[in-house]
Amino acid sequence: MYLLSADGLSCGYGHSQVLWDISFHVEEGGIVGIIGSNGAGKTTLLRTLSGLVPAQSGKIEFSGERIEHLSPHKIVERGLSQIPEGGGIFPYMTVLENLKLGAFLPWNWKRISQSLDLVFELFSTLEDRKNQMAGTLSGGERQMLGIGKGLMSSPKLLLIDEPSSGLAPKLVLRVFDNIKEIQKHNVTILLVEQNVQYCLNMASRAYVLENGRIVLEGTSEELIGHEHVRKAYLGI
Amino acid sequence: MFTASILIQQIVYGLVIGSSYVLMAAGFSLIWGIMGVLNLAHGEFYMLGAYIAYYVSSLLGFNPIMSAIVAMAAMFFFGIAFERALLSPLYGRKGWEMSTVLITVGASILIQNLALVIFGEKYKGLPMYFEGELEIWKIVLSYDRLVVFLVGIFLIALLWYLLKYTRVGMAMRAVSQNQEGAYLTGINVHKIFYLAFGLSAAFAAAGGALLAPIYFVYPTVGAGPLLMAFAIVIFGGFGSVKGAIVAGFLLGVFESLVVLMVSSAWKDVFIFVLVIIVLTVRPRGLFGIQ
Repeated sequence: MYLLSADGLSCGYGHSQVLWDISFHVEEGGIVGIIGSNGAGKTTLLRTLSGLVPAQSGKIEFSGERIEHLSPHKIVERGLSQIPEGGGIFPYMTVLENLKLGAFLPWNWKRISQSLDLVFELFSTLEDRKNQMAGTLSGGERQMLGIGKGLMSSPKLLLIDEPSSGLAPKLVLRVFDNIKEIQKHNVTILLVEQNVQYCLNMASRAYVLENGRIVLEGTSEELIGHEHVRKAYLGI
Repeated sequence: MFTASILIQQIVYGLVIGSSYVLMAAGFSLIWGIMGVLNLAHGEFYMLGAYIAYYVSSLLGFNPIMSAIVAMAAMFFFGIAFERALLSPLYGRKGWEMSTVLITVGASILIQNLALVIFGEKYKGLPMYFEGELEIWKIVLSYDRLVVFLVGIFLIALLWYLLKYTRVGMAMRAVSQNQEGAYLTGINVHKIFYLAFGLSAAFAAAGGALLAPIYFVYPTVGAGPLLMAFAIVIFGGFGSVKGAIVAGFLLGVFESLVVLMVSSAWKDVFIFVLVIIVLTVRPRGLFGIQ
């Protein structure tokens, strides 16, 4: 049984359909990637998985349970946590308040101090800045805060949307190092990236999304060697 | 001319009224910040709070503090019922924020007229509960006003604590800052909506209930405070509770100084001229975002 699987998923906004017949799965442990260019529908796919955009047809199963009809907070309660582009942070609250809110669910709220210790161990910068307003953080720090906040909800699966977006190359490496680190704490990761090179280096398997459809899937080695991926995404 | 002690006395009176304004405006601002709803029936929550306090006090003989607590509790549930019945069916529809303006105006008219039918048009006043007055350095303050002021301050501090430190209060702030982020944090946003609405109604009711022993109660008594809440929220910054607290006290004092130096007939003119100036010079208000 897969941790997350989608079968024949279609969705869109109003009359414009964005995703057609998407099927994919994520097994427990490790990192799975979804790559695609701007406007391919990557973010919409994540928003559908999180319940922010209703699915028009198809099904989503998480930990053996259908979730496509659930509202977003119910999905978070089941252990599926999304970090949207930009981190999904609350700009007029301190870093510490943001992290605490990450543990909003009652069972997480009770063990807030252990979770905080873990997050501060992973991201010492956040501890240094814990009393600073989140809106005043740099792009890289915001991304870290977003990931830290996501971890506070002790998720089974973390969906991360474009962690490299808007960051300098040096910071991108750091954020990806952080993501690898998280994986060691029994968190499965679905990584959605425009930056194909980085994504395939991190993930064991990946799907290629183009114009709202999955056009390719395979292990990262297979995809790196695939002619279409090399031409369209890696520029080789 | 007036002496320094009269001036100070008037400032103190301004703070007393200001505390009631803050109770009113903080909830008004909270609902705007969290839900994006301009609740034009907020004055009716104030009015209902005042009537509940009046009846509890005159029929059951409760003291003003107890009657304010009863009014707050009753209006908390009334606020939730209001949100569930009238606002929640609109969420997610096209242009729903605008529809809420019409719905709340309609509800305001309806509640006012029901109050007229049920409670009558007569002004109702309560006798002084705590007799006597406090005198320090020639400043005279009746115990009734003193109690209103202290309870008001306590409630404002309570609201502040609630929003700043409790789990639900933090979630309310989160929803107001980034609604989608709040959903993804596992916050049940619609539940936060109705809890905030109940809270806002309870605090408006407290404002009305606390002033019931000092002023009269009548069906349209909420209109003035609603207008004032508008002025305060513009002055303090839309959606900012901190702004509502600071601006509420400032405008309360400003109003009583205008009453002292010019005349009570001119106080609204002065207040709204001030609001127009703020809107021109600093449209986001003192603590507004952006």
